[in-house]
Amino acid sequence: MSADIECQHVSLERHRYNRNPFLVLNDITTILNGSCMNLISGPTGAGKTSLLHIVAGLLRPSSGQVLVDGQPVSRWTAVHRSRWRRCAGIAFQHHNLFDDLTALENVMVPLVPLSRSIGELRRLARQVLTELDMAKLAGEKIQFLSGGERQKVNLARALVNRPQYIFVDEPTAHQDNESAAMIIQRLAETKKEMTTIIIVAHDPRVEACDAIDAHFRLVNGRITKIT
Amino acid sequence: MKNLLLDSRLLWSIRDVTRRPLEWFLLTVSLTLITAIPATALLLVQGLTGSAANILADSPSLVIRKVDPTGWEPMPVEQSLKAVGSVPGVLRAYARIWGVVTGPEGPLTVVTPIATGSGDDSKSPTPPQSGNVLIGAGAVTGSADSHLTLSGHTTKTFKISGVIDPKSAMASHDLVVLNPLDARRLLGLPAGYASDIAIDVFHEGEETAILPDLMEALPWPVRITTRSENLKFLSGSYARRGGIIILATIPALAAICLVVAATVREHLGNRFEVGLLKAFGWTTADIVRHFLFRSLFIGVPAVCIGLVIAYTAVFSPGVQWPGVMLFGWQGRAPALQLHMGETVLTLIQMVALTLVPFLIATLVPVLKVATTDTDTCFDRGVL
Repeated sequence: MSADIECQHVSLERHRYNRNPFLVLNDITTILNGSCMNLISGPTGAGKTSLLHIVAGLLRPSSGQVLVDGQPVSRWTAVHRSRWRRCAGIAFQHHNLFDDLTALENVMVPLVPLSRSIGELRRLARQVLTELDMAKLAGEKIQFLSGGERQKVNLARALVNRPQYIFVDEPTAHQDNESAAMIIQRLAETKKEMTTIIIVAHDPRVEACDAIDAHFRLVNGRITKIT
Repeated sequence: MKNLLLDSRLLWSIRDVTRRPLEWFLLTVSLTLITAIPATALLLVQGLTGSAANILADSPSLVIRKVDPTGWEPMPVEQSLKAVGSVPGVLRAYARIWGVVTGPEGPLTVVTPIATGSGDDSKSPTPPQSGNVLIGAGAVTGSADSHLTLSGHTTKTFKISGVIDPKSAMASHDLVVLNPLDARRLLGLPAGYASDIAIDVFHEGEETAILPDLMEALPWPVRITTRSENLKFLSGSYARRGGIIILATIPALAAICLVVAATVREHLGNRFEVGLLKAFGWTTADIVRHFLFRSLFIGVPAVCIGLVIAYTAVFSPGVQWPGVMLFGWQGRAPALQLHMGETVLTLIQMVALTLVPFLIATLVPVLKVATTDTDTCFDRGVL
């Protein structure tokens, strides 16, 4: 069972085009439940992605802290946070895939430091791609895949090392209804493995999903728990 | 024991190199050339100096020549040997006949192994029969004719009875070994006279110690050359030539600076990619190891190929350019001799000159990026 993620007075200040600083996130204090599927929704520009990156340990908040299992992960050094991220998987909004690698190789990236045999890495990566109906495209380079296919590869990369925490940004973007349902279904199955899932989305298809345990709404840098 | 070759991290690094094949190819070619050019210069100087030292090791300890205001004069053999034989410390003394004559394609040095002397004569090689000659590799005319016409005091055609061992080619390249009688006629040396007197001593240190006694023992002005003087002269001569070549390698050194600068810039520009790897749980050690493997995969083969090219260019039989370039030899150049210890030193020098800067240029910027926070690796808003 994975632990809760607790945000304590988390604020994030940003500068845009040399103008005065503005608050992307404003004093957010909340608990994202462990071993549950948490959804953070909100309008475009509300700061959903920034909050996701802060709880995933990719961004440091300007003030406040993020505790995982009581540990102040957001205050850890870069080296310690890198090590912690081994138990986390992340799917980016803009995919951030390596265009000159194949889909299979992209999915293998989080597994490489585990120093297993290359055959085992390929097997694990292919298995996740198969679960997302992407096995046929495993050998294709990313540059030849559609937006929806890239998003599935992006998600497969987040799932491949069976992480305790999964951070997913807009998982159903560019997906038709059938694929969106399959992705939500796959995430719901992951939840059964006692994984904490944080989804950021403003897609009604995700909001309507029964598997969502906690729904947070982020507007103008402030968060409200809906369910 | 885990098989390193099947380690996913190593294989991943190799795969990463092949992501950009053109860049890989150009970098390999650059490093190969940067290694090959200075390594050729260094190996050539070592080969020349080492070969000269080998040859001089078998040469006489001292050589005495009679001089007059116009140059050198033939020495009366009997009187000279008697005089030098009386000097304590002289182990063996013998007269030599040699001089420069004109061959079909230019000047050639005529020598004769003469057995006229005191002490142990076992070192003197057997001279060819009258009318026959042994020739160095540089005296081979290339025609199928097995005769050689030499012009000196007289002109005579000789039958070529053999070619001198290529191992001594550095010293014997333009040599023609004659029977003493033929040599005397060709050089105009009267009977009982020789070109110089060669002396062997028991210890190398005695070379200079007996010089005053030898000067005193001989009743005419002489010039005495020691083996160590010859060695210094040859080494200095080769070092000067090598120095010119090494100057020519300055562009290669400038090139390694450019490669280093480009590598540093490339890896500092890899911030986003390094940030992504960190986002997927790669630790600083994983990232540094990955880029180290990557650089080794490019650098080690390139440096090895460069060294093989340099070695082949200098030591391979049939390669002509060192002789043509440095000595003006035509035709087959003499083979140089390899000294294992010095060659290993050259390998270490080249690794220090090319591979080490390349690895440092890779690892320092990567280490700098890998130890920073993930958010500083990413351009904000890209994610």
